[in-house]
Amino acid sequence: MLIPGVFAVVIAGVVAVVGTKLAYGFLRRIGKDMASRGYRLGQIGSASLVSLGHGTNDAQKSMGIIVLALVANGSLSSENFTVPLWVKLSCATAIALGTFMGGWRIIDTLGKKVTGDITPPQGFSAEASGATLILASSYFGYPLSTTQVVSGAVVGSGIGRGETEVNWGIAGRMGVAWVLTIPGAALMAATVYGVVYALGDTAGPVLVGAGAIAGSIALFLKTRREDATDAELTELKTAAVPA
Amino acid sequence: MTILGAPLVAWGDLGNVVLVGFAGGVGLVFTWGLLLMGLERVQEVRSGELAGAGLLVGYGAMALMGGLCTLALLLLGLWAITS
Repeated sequence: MLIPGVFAVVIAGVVAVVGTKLAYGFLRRIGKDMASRGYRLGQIGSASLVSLGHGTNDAQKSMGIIVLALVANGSLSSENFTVPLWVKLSCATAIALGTFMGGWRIIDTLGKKVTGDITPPQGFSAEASGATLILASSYFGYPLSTTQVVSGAVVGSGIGRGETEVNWGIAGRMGVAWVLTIPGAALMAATVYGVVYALGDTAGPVLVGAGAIAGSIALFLKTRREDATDAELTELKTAAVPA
Repeated sequence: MTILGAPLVAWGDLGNVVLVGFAGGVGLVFTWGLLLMGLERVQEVRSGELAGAGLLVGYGAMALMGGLCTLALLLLGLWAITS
């Protein structure tokens, strides 16, 4: 079934266009100083809402997959079950660690490259529309990608701002990456299933798990090394953490 | 159109997501903007740029309404998610 989550990217973009035009309407009436200070303050709340939405939607998808495996294994009843506490804690810890560990490249792309430097009214509108869409989808029970929704909202806020052009080259590359994600994930899942099927229920999961951990660590270290020599990212990190 | 007995697009839920998205996303920007505009005008009245006690009350009410509506939207969202 094609679910509302698929359309959430476009909806977030359209809502952000209207929201940003409205925010700039207020900006013209209240002056740049008050608007910048006010919307920057508001961004603390709107960014917190995005984080809340992230937690209500993304962690649940991981929990769903683990619960599915537990039900398939007979560890949980398919008729009547509650999500075990260890599943909740592991998913919450993993998502918090992932958020804590970085993602500076994504911040750099969304914050600086898609529509140029994002202004406070623009950021507030993008975050408010993204957060509302994510929370609404969570409420109606539809999984979606937080990154894709926020990206759609950022592009929408760039269109709504009007002064700067959206970098459609980067936006297009992001779209291609999203399209490739689904078949890529399916291919990876099929490969892992093949390995587990061939090696058996013990050696298969151990090998796949070890490979996944080793790959993740290698990728993390490679990213960290490359980020350390990237002047743009270093400048962004310094600006984000005031002395 | 259905696939394996399930509808391809859940139009009802899609409509609800669009409605909630506009109400929340645009609504938050509007109510926050009202708060900021009210505060700015109150400052102008106090500094003498604008004159009139009625204006002070009016713009104060605008700021208060903006703040309360923002808070109400946030609480409504949190209530919906946790209920």
